[in-house]
Amino acid sequence: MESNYQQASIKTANDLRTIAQSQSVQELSNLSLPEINAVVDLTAKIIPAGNVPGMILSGLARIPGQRLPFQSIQQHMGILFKGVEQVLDHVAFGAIFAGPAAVIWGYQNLLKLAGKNENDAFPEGIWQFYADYALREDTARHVNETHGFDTLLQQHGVALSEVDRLTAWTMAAISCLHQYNSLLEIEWREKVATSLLEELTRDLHNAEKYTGLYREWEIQRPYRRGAEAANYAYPNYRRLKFDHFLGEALQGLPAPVRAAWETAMQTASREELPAYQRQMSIMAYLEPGPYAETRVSFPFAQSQIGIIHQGNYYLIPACAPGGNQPISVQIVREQIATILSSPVAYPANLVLLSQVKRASLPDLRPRLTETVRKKLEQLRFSPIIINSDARPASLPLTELRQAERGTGDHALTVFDTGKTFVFDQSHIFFDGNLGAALAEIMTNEALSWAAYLRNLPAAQPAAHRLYTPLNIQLQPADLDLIRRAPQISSEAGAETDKVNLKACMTLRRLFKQRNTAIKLTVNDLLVLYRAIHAANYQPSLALRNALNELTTKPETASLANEIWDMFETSRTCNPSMLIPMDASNRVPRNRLYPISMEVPLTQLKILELHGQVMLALNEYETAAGDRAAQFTRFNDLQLTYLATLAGFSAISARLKEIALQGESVSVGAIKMLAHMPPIFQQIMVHIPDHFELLNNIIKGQEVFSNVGAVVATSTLSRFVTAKDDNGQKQLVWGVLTDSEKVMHISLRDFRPHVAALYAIGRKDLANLITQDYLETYAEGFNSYIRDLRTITAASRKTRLLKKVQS
Amino acid sequence: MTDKDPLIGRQLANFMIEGVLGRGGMAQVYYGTDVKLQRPVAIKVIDARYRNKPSYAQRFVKEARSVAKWRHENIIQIYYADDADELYYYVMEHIDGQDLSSLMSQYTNNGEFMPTDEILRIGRAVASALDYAHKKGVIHRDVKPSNIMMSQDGRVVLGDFGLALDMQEGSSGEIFGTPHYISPEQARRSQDVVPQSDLYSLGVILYEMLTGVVPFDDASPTSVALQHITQPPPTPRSINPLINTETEEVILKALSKVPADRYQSGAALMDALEDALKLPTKPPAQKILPLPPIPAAILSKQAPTVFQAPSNTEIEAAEAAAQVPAETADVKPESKGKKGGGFWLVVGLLALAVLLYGGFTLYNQPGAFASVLQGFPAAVSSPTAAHTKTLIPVTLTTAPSLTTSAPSETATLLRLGPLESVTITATLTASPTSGESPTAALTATEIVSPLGTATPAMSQTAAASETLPALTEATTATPDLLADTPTAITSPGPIPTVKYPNGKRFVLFYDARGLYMINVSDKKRPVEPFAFDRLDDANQPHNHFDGLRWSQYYPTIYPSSCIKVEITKQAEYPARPPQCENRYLGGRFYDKNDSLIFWTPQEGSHFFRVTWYKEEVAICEIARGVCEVFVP
Repeated sequence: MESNYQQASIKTANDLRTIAQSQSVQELSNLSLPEINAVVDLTAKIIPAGNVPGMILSGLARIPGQRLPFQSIQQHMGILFKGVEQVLDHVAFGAIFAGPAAVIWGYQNLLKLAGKNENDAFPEGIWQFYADYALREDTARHVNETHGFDTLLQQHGVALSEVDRLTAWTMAAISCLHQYNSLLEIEWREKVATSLLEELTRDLHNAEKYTGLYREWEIQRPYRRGAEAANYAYPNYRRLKFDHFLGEALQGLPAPVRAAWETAMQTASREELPAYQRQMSIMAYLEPGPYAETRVSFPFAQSQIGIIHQGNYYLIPACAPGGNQPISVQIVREQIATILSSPVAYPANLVLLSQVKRASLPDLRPRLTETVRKKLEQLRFSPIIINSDARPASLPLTELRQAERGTGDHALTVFDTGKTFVFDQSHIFFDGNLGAALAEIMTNEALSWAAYLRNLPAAQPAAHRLYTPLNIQLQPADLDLIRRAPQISSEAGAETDKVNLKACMTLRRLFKQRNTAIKLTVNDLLVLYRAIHAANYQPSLALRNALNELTTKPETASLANEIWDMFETSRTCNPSMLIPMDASNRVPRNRLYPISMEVPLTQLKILELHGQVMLALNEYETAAGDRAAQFTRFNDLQLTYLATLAGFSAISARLKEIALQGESVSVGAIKMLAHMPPIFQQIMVHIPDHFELLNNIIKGQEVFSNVGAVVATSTLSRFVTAKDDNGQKQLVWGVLTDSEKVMHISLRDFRPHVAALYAIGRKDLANLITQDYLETYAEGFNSYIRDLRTITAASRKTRLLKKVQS
Repeated sequence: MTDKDPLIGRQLANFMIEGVLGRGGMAQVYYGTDVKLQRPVAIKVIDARYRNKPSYAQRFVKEARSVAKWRHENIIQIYYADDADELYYYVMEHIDGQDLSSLMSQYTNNGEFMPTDEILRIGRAVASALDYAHKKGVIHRDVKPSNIMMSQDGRVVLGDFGLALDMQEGSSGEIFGTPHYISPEQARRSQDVVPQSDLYSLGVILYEMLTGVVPFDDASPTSVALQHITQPPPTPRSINPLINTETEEVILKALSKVPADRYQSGAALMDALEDALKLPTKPPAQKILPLPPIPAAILSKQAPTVFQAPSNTEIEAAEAAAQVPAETADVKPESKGKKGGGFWLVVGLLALAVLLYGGFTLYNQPGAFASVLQGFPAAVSSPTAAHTKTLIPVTLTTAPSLTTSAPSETATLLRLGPLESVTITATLTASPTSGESPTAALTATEIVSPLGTATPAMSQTAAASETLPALTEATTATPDLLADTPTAITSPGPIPTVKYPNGKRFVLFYDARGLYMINVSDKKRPVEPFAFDRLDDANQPHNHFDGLRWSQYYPTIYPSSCIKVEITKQAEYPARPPQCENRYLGGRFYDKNDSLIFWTPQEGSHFFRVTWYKEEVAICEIARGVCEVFVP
């Protein structure tokens, strides 16, 4: 292997020199020739084999305005990692690639060598790049729920007619479209103004006044207009509030710093804001390609709101005829009255199409019957679709959203449960936080419209129809095509609110009191226990009985055994968790930074220590006679355990810090992907044999997304997060803490048994397995917190006995 | 391990030892049966390692001897004491239940706080037991939750007088105790213990019952003891914000470092705690949010603004707005100048509704947007001519007794524009219950908040509480307080300063007899940075009063708490806000001629200045009797 490695390194260095010393690269690079040689040698050792020149050239092709045409890149490509395999066997490949950080570093050297600016490859930020090609499928949508609309109407004794209920939400959607650019502007401005201020005041004596400014604003940021601001549209009201908040922060700022801040704001507003607004606009539809989605913008005047009523689609224009002004509420109300009183056509059943893999749509769509195709084209201009067919609020959100919801080309579907509203959001358009904010803003906007509508006389149907009924009827040929197309993974869903957050907060207080170095956040504890749970999970008795029943039937016995095996195997795997972190404060276009974390359970011996401390505590508490020895043992172990937890909290904090600087391994890996041609990116995604390790790090095996606690006036109640399209991610955890301080955890389960159970008609069992897994997590978490509390507080029972006179 | 105990199965006198119950400092406690009376008992046997130590053996016997004579509901009953075969033991009643430590753990594990009734019941029982023991000349010295038993029938029993010190005989110089509950004097030197040392320990237990944590904790017991000696405890409200300030004061007093500063008896401590716990805590969170106003576009009879990608001009305007300091920011409403013919009627009705609802008015200050957002009690409006624009009456048929503003001024009012600061004259401040016709109120209500189903007062309160939770109290307080306040002062004065319109809000109430400052914000602030100066008509400062005078006693003013300065020997203090009853953190008292009195009427002086860290944060008009101050 050693000699192979050397051979590969020499070959790489030679290849690299050839390309690096070529005139074209030298012109691109800022490095001198000796520097280039140094980088070449270093890089050859890190990435010892393969078509390195091809890799560089392929990367160069992605930079706008570079001179190398794509055809010449293809000539050079030859797939880098195929080259690697030719020189090194599989084992050696794994060994040498064992340090992904080194790979990334090496690759960055290559980029440096090529004189490339990494950021050139990400005009819309790193996460946007990733989302466009890896968060495309229906499973990559996240879901929020608010209860504010019905709760407040009920509290204030307001009963709306069906027409007015739908009108309020349609108007909220229209307002949302019309105000969206302003919303993006204020979102952007709040983040950039505060982060620039923090950055520019770092050296001032009162720098602490400016640190955490954004967090301070987040706490007081309004999501609804107060009665005192009746004449302001929401974005303007929020802007005013922010201006006053900012005005206070700007007080006393030294003139040069203030001038620098103003200049920086002007530059950013000129250069970055329009790009951000373009990037995040929902006035676009998604055009699926074989490898990625393309966002296609359309003129405002074309925009419309999709309404689903009894399975049929209706399109209401968002603008008044002939212009860009919003359509009036009276017209919308009349149109909706007409829709609701119209005879019902055959349901469209587009839900089948939403389950087809997006990569196959470019092939499938042109083959659909022409009428259907044209109607689907029309639907694309509806960034928001409202499904007014009530869904049961008692369903888990993953199940609740399994209803008519367009074809996945649009940004947002809103479902009505009669008690709540559920927002099904494309991750390409929204992150978790932005999506949650929008859900709140729309709910309050709908309430505003409800406040207006409830005083009007009953609505009458319109004399002239302005809406477009789509009347989509999939033909047998269409249905056949759709059913034969590759489908997205089946999923089961579960939710729980059993986690005792108060106990967790009490424990954190105890930790803090005990030692300020123990800085475990609630999320750290959740993630830590997730790893413990994975290692210890045992099905409940009810689930065991259900599985045993499956075992007794010959036709399902093998599936039952596979499920048992899956439980067994999963206990031996420490899951790598992808934790999305908000990275938008400094550069909003960057949206998210993902970090992948594998809790170092084994390395830190957390499970062993926990068991040992509990045992020692029990021995100490139950021992007879002189217990000094038992106490000493317990005390030593306790201190070690708490120090270990403090260490874990430090690792976790550092990881987040690094991630937010854009330097995490995951982000680095994405950066690496971005410089490869699309075909290569797909290879990385689809050849887990070759890239297993890297894939784990880029994507993790699970998603663990905690959007945190909502503000006191929020009515957000549930949250389900998204997963990317890689089949390797099988469990997706979403966490939200509501305004009553109740933590809601959702779990989406994509493990292989789900599809198998669906196939034999046992969806109930698939859901039971997921629910059991989640419930045991929540209950186990509570026990773990109880144990930690007992351990931390146990010394309180000890005695201070310095001296006993004899 | 307990199975191997050689004493199990052995009979001592009439008592059969059957199992281990627990372990004290130097003794083992067993459960057993009185074989003659056939009743369960607990038997405490000295540890083998102490049996040969005469001083300890004597102490053990002494404990039994002392306690056996006592009869108290909350002290464990000793039945019998003896020594046999080198075993020193005594027999006591067996409490079937759990100790307080376990009970508290259950609450803590559930993330809950113990109910106050339960805290008082347990605290009273322990305090009573301690007072009884102290009267008998005995200090417990080891009061801690695991020594407090809770029987299944609800009885609270203090046990384990194993460290009890007979005050008549003095101490043998041993340092005993449990570090988390130990008093500072006991931690320093065991001889120094006094009955109030036990009350300190009870104070720690009360602290723990109220907050779920002990005041000091550390891996090292010595460090815990040192903290008891040297560190102030974290304020209970910093851990459990639901505790009111009075309760916090009681607990902090119980935990005073000096025994003489504590309550002198358990009963006094519990009386004070009970009184404090009866007082309301923070106003309950507003559960019912008000409905948002109808869409702005409807109100202005205009379609919502279309927000396309902003042009360069718009971006520049946005930047300019961001760059203007808050107090000079000229915030223009989006639809100015595009009103239809019915606009002024709508505006007038809206203004009327605002008045009818809460009796609110707008405070006369620059940067009025912020102040309007935060509201201000109606009754405080006694505007000065210098800062007030007189509002031209417009008679409305629905509310004939009321007048409202001229269109231009009203427009400013409703649009919350910051440049035109508007104050409504006192005659306009009608309350919702002042006899206006229901129609008028309803009409107004429906326009401001078309749902209008909540009562006007409720809606107004809710709207205000959204931005300033404590405002409700101030609002209700001010009308009575200011009944005698002169209404319109025309003397020109300094321009009021509002440096921090989004800052933490304090309200001052004052008259010739006293000055009161309430923290109506949601954050605590130190008292020391405040300072006050009377200003003469030439704007020169006099009668400097420094917050240090308060802070040396009470360094922090907590949300909803008050501090005061009063003129001594007054029959009554009419300006005292009802909200401050029992909420004073401290007060200073001076003679009416004292040079520190800065707020009373004087010829040639109509204002006083408030500074925060030497920066002017408010100019208050003496005749108004009320003033609000915002600090960062």
